[in-house]
Amino acid sequence: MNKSARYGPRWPYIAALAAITLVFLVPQLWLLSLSLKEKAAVYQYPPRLIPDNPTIENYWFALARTQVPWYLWNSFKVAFLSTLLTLLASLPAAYALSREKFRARGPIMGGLLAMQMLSPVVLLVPIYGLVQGLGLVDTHAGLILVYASLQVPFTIWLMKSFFDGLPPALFDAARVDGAGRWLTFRAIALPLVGPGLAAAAILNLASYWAEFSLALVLLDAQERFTVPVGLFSLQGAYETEWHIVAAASIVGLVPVIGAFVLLQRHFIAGLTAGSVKG
Amino acid sequence: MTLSRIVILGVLAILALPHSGSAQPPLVTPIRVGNPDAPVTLTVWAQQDYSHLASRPAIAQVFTDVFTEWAQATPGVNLRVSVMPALEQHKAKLLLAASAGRLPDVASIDSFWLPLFLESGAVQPLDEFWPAEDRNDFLPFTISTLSDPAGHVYGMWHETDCRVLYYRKDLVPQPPRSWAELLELASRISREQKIAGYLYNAGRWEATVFDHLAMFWAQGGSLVDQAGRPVFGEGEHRARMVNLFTFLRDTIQTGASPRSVLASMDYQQLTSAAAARDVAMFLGGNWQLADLKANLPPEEFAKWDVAPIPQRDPSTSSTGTGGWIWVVFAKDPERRKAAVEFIRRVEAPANAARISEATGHLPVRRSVYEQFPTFREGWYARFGEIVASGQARPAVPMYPAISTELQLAIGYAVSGDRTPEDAVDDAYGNVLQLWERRSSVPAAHTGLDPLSWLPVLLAAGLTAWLFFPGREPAPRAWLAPAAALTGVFVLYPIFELIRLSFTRATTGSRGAGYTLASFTQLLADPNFWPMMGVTCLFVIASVVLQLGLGFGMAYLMDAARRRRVPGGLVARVAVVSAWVVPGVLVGVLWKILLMENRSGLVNYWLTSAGIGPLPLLSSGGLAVVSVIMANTWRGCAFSMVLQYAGLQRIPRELHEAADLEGASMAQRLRVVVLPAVAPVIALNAVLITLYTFNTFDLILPLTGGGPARQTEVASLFMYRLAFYDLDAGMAAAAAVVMLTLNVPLIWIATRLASGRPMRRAAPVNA
Repeated sequence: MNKSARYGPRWPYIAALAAITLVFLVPQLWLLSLSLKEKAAVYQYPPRLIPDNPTIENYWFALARTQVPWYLWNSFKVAFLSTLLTLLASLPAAYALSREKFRARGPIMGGLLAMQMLSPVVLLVPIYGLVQGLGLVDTHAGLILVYASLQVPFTIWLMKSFFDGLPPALFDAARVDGAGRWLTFRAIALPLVGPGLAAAAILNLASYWAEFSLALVLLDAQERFTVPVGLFSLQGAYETEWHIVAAASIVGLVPVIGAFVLLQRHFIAGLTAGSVKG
Repeated sequence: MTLSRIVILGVLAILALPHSGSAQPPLVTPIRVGNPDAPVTLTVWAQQDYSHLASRPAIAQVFTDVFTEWAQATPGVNLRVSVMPALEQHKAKLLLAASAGRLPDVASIDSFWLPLFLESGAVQPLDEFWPAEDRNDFLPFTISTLSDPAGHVYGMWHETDCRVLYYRKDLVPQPPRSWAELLELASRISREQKIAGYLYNAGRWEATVFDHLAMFWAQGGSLVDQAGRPVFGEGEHRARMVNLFTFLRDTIQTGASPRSVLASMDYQQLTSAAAARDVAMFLGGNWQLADLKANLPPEEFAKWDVAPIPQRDPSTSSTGTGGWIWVVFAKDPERRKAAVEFIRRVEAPANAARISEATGHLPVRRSVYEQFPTFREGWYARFGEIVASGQARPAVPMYPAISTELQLAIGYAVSGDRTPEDAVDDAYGNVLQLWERRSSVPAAHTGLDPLSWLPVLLAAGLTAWLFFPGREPAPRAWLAPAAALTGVFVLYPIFELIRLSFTRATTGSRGAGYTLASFTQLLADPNFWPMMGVTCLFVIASVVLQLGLGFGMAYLMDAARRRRVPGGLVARVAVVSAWVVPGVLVGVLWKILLMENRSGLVNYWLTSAGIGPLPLLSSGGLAVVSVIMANTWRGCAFSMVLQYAGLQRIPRELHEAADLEGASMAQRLRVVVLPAVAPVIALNAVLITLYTFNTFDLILPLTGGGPARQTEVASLFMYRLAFYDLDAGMAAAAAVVMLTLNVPLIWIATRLASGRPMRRAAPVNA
């Protein structure tokens, strides 16, 4: 029997996918529309999704007169290095917690979960005091250390489940061959959880990219602001030029969306490979 | 492995890419202003709309010119400018910096914050380098408000402003002078023209209070007495405040104003209603004139005019005058002198005139009014008359707390949730309690506080005990990096937070004595438990919706993939693009979409469909729905991707078997799909529950927790306590209570996470 007879018609799927795409894109499309409008058209009635006199003037302004390009660079640097640090600290711990049996393992896993319950918002005041004590206020290093530490519990937790999913026979074989703990980790376990690692990295990157309150509190100098703080500081005390903010936001968002398009295959493959033991 | 290549490329890029530099350094760059080799560098925390980085081109140009001239005249000094986020976030940053001794040399702050910095002695007097004859050129209130009893002056006013009644001449032939006239006229216009008769700010922000204080002051009311003690809820003052609240309630009851005023959280919403020709009168600020002019075609703009704020007694008048000021924190005399000379140069008469023309604010120098005819004519002349009855906020440290309570109280009265009397009395009760709490703060510990070391010891001890147990051969080296990071940056702050919850620490000063007062007050607070209720509703609804919709979409996309239907990737990218938008931007974006005047897109569509317009942000119930929708829109992607991955793990043969068997949708879900994705759903539920509990970045710009407190979730409640009310002790106590209440949740999550592995997808029984 042919395909369409077996599966039924394809158009309902296309229609449903198109509907989802549209519904989820309305706010972004409105943002795009605002970014192409002249100031006078921002509050026009009736509201128009397609501007009457589209202009790219706002983009020139966002690129030349605001710091958005620098914010992008800062965000990239902070997100990338934080992710690297998170993974470097979490991977061995996750592996040990998955492979070794020791008394404190249960309490550690519980504690890691409990740490995630606390909103970083409530920790802002003590964290500021701590980072200041270390002399790291207004440095990317301070922000990266805090970011990485806050994500370590979740990343251990996630990576442990990937390690748990590896077949035990593999490790028995390695032991028979006389491989030590480090060799087994590096040569056998790590390559096998590669896709999971990619998924964990992308989750971390995304959360660092969007983080606002810690970056706001820990960074003072504009040349170090990340994208969310930078975009927020475009809003004025009295009035906000929405068409400019919109253009700057689009400039700040496009690289992330692009990165997702490039990485989404790895991401989904990684999660598929065994985000949860099953 | 591609991953390692990506990592190497990233590291190389970070190492290789230098920060921008050019051969001929210009004098005004976004961050550095002035000669790059100058021996003295001043740090400046500026406001975006009062600097060369303004997003309005005219303002940016004026400041670029002014700064260039300063730089040419001052080769020995340069500036490092940082533009700060507006309002409360800026204030919180400054206070934290003050506590850490990291204040900038120069900052621009809202005039009414000055008492917060005077108290701690952080702000420096300017008069030593600011001759009296120049000071005398400034309007008297700008000097007296910023002076201490000894005659030192601590700030230089940028510009000032006043509140006025904007009205459309074609609809309002004679502007109303009294409340009664206003109500009568506005309700008639609403009925006849089907537009808003009268709009004003009633959302949760400072302007809601300050715009209306004029109506309280004109009756002779006072917020505080000579000693700074709040009195607005006593005797005559109470009666005057109740009058004001009754008037505000009546604007809704008579139909003069729509309920959407409850969602009015920036002046832009008023301008936008005017631009959409959706309002006849509104209470706004003088600076909005420039915005109206830019947003309206000339013939429409010509219809607008301004009048003094209507009062209870038409023979009285008042208006709130505010404005931002320059302050200097630099202690070193040399730097202080350079700092004062910089702000004096910026505010020199010719510059002040140029700047005010670009910003639309009112100059505060007499000579500007005398020498520049622009400021004696037309609109400025009108504003000049109105500002003559101007009054500034009381310069007391209690004002921000009073404002916070009155913002809520106005929300309650306007929405009709409380009578004007109850709203005033409740607000006053809360303010008094806070006043007593503050005036009874035990003397700060000087010298060594042994308890302050307890969090360090606990964090170190717990880390050592958990990660490095004595007898067993635990893999110490493997755990060490993670243990070090979490021990220092997570465990220690948690213990420090618990310690703070037993103190009366404020954001910006620590070390007050130990007490249980924060807990007793918090648990006795009648708002605490309703707030927890809102939190639960928000979390449960968001989680259920995100899981459900996420699963639905994942299933659809998986089915489409199996049928080789195109478009899956596009849909996936569309959904995920919502997820990568930073939370603060999500809130701002949805606020624009849900705006309740005619230029709001969603309400425009609802109206076209014959359903609306709906009070999407101003009615408590709908505001909660809107917040949940915005959060679901943002969060669905995570659930979808996770579950899509889970669905892909189902072996193809199982689906094919189900196809052959002719299984119904329900059978397929129950037998093939759910067993496979159940563990994914469980993990997903735990993760997004945690995540949603901590969400406030989206709500803050969207509703600010309003109307009243109806969308105030726990994390926003704590953020406001710590960074708006600056009550770090109370915020810590709230966090500790939340943590305690979360213990069962943690327990369930641990069970779920470490529970027996679920079975693999069971084969379909033929």
